[in-house]
Amino acid sequence: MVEAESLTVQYGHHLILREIDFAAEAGSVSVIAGPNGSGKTTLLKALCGDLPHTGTIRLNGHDIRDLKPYQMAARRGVLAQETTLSFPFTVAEVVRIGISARSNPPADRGFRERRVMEALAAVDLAGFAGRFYQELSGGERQRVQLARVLCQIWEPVDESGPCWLFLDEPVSSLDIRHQIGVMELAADYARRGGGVIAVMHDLNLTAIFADRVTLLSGGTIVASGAPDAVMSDAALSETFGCRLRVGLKPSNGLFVLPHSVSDHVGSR
Amino acid sequence: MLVLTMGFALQVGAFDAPTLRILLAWAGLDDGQGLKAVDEIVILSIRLPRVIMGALVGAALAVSGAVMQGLFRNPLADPGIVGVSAGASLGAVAIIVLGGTVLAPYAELTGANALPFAAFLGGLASTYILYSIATRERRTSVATMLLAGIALGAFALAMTGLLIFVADDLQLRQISFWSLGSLAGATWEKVFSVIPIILPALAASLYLARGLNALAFGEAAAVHMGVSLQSVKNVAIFAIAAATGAAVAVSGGIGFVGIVVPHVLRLLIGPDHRYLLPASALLGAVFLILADCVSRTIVPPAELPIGIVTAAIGAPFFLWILLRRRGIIDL
Repeated sequence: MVEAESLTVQYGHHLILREIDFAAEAGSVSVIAGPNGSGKTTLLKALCGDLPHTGTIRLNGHDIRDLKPYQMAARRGVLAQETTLSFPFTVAEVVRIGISARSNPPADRGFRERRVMEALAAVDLAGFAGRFYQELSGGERQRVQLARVLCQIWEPVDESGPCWLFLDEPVSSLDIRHQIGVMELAADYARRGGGVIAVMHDLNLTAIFADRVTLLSGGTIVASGAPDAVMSDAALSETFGCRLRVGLKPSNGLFVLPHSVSDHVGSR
Repeated sequence: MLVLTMGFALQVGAFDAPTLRILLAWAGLDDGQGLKAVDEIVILSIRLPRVIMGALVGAALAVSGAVMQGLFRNPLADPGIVGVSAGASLGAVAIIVLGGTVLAPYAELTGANALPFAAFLGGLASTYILYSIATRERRTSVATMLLAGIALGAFALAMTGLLIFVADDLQLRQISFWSLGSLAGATWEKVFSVIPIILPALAASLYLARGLNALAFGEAAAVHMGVSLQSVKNVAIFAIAAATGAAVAVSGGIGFVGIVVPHVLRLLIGPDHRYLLPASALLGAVFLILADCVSRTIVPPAELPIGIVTAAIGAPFFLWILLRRRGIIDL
């Protein structure tokens, strides 16, 4: 379980998050959604342990202030919105660095190499191992980074509890096939007992893959719960400041349609 | 390769001597008959310490370069370019000029290691200042790093100039050695004074490999991968300062080794620091010994300062890297 209690984060004099109470269960996909500047990424970064904060954040019951970086790294992997790489590593080397981020990396070299290949296959990049990272497209790079993060916390559950995937807009640079592929991968990680917390802009993917949605606006939580409880015309339109219609698919499940956006965004 | 280069470097020079037999005799494997005393002196007391010193200094400079590039996440960082060597020189010159007066208590305290230790402190101060200026909010700005490095270097140079201004003739002769960069003053005494500084710095840098690999993804990502950022930074800054300081103390301002060697190796074996750092030590040693051979033999019997040789190779190389990376560096 990842919990935040009266979490407040401040950049200089700007209050980004105000007294937030947040909880995510292992075995489920928790999505944080909200308009630009609502504090989504800040919330995720705070949960990762990146930001000075007041209030308490607990990872599997431990206050993250008491955890060392290597202890955190054994429990959670983080995929940032964008990762820059400063030296000409190959794709395989990037992913392998994820394995060596473990405090007890598997000793068998052949095993490690197979793991790298498995991780690349999982993000649909089999055959890219020898390519230079810097020559890849944005979407391919993002998937290589996801493979690296996966290698860091390969088993969703181990003897000391569940592991966590923290994903900041994991699909924003991907084509629709890979958006679905990455979300399925995340859902599978959760199904096998791990925890997933993702910041998402795509409300349709959120409706399909989220077990729980948290809507943020202006640094506070406006709604939190299962998608069909949280994602209503009124709540979404209010949060995002434009008219949105939520419908029900024939096969059950929600979809979100934008509805006369120009009325609100363009002319205001 | 290092061993071969060392053997080669012992053989070449303005003076011909039967190198192999002397070394064998030194090791007790040859009866030593028919060897001339003068040959032995040339090889064992002049060339051998010089070659070993070259290996130590070359390894120190190349590894400091590689560590600094990893720390700043930029292949253009080098102790010589960003003012760390200048800071180390300032420390060394300060002890030469003021060691008998203002800094006498310090000189007494550190004894024979006063000079390399002062250079180490000068390097440490400048590396630390540079890193704190260039890194804001977990981002290291290349532009800030290079500009701050220029300013730091200029300031250290000005302070060095001030010290030179007040130095007497004897001190001036000692100082002029630093401005050019040379291995000519190598003695066993100097070799033994830098070994306890350079070898631990090299060993410490190996500990950094995993952290520097993770740091290539940025500071936040490195922390996410379990790296204790602060300890990696501290060890890196100490290792850079110690290796550069010791190298500067015995050989002066030899530039560009730290740029050329790691860059070539990244092209050859890739940027993984677990291999890059040890390989930099070996190739740095080889590179500097060979550069020293050139400096000794190109205008016999005179010697060209080795700093000229490395800069003549390194400066165009640096510009070449800059050209290849154009568009990436935005000042």
